[in-house]
Amino acid sequence: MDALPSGFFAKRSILCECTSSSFAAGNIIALQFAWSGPAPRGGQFFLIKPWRSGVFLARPLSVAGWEPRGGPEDGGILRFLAARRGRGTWELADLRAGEEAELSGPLGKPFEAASFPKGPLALVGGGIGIAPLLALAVELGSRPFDFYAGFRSTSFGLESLKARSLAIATEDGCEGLKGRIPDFFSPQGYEAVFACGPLPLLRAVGDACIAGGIPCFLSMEKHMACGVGACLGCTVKTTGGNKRCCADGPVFRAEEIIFDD
Amino acid sequence: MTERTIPKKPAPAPDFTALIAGVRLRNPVIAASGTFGYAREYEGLLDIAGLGGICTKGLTLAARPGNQGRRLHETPSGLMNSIGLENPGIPAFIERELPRLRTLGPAVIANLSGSTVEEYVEGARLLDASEVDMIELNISCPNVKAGGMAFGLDSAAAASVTGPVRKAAPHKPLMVKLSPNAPDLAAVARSCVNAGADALSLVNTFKALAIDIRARKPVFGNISAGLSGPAIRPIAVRMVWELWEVVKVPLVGMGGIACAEDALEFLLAGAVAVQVGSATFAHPPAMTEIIAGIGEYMKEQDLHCLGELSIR
Ligand SMILES: Cc1cc2nc3c(=O)[nH]c(=O)nc-3n(C[C@H](O)[C@H](O)[C@H](O)COP(=O)(O)O)c2cc1C
Ligand code: FES
Repeated sequence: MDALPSGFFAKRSILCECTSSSFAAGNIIALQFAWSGPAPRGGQFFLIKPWRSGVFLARPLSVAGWEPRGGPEDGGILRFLAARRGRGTWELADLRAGEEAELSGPLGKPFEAASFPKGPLALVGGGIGIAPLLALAVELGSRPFDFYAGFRSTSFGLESLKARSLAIATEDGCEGLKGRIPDFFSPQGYEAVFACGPLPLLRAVGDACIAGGIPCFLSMEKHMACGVGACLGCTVKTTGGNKRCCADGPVFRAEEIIFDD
Repeated sequence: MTERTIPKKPAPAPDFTALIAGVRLRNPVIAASGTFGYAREYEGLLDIAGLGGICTKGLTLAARPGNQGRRLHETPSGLMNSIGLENPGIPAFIERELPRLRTLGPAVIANLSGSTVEEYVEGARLLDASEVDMIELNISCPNVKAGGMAFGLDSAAAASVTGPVRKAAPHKPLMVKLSPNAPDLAAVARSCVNAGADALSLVNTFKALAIDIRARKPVFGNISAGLSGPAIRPIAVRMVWELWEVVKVPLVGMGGIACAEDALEFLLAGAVAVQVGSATFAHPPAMTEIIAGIGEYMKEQDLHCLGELSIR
């Protein structure tokens, strides 16, 4: 842990300006913030709390995109997708351009696609779970990858995706294939698979990859308080014992995860 | 005739040192047990070196995996937790975490937990021989089935663990962390002091319950969990105020402190120092701002040392 180059997982808490807030689809809002801290990687997340807030804790949101302004010290624009669920995410969705929020991050471990240089790769997301995969897709640049995205009814967030192929499935068949993504996904032919979304999707994709001997990385979601590994509240059960979703993850190898709930 | 003004001497910077049972803290703000990991987790998010002290997560003799299932639940102005004392065990703490904690600057306070008197005593012995500055004896964890808070609920039980731990750790100042769930807190406090406590810290979390109305069952596997955060602060301040009249040892106050004004309430009520827990989750730089804010208040009120803050 200490062998990492210093600053690699550097994090900051900064009061930031929301530069844009727009409707994406259904209960999904796209948010942008001006960030002057360390650059994030795909798979990492931030804790976000509006400056004027009626809830106690900040909410964790995966980075969906990052546009550096210039050099590594110059900051840039952070992009997120937020789904309205409870009061905290309602507050985030109600943020308007010009208002401020405290952002702490980047937190957690990123997807490590660089260990699989031969490609092609598969990115598999369900609903709001596509967010970290969008950030990973940008990092992949010109490397070949296929993107599989499942939604309840309408797609969102895929506008500037540069995938070799894009498969969309919706549960009600309004767009793309009718059904759930695992029904249409096979890991065969991929060097590695990266997935994020609801537990049934993670489980199905993980099982298929394990059966096919394909390396697979799953981004997990848990209730969080500290987001940095200090409170031990976000336990993920693994074959190596309890791990902290926020600090040891959120990205885990599929074989490690013990799905029990 | 011209009026002569006598040049005012610039006010000296207020003396921020807090003394708890012989341990000198550079300021009165301590990271509360279980909320600050082993400090490195928060690197970059606040000025760790500037803290007065750091309490470790509750440590038990042997490693513990903690509780199953859901561990956190947010409430209006608060947080419920059911972590269940997950920790690497005292030997692993001493070997792997303590050397680095020592180099940070703040006083290092080991939060000692256990299920039986024997387990507490064995742990105390190891900590006594280690480099920690102080032991905070946790007899107030509401999230474990055996021991923990059971020792903090009545005065006989509290003395039964405080006395032996005192004897097992003769070289370290001993602070006992009290449970707000004790029906007679004053009696427990008195009994801890009689059994050898050099200081008392309060409060640990309040036993509380949340129900998931969709799943139609309690949120937590253990049914109840511990409530912390701003919701509990006024009750915690009242408890510090009352104990100040009961015992003469230093009191370290906590419970819902989120800003300097909150911390000052405890210091005015008679606490010599404060601990900050859940607020760090909500706003990581909170403790750094609290330290600065206490200093500003002292200057504004023309107070020169922390002891002058108390209104008791
Ligand atoms: C997630 C969490 C874990 C905690 N773990 C411990 C612990 O291991 N030992 C202990 O004495 N107190 C523990 N506490 C209690 C805190 O140290 C503190 O007494 C309590 O949270 C009240 O302070 P606060 O309102 O500032 O958080 C824990 C609290 C939280 C929220
Ligand atoms: S949220 Fe605190 S350890 Fe993960």
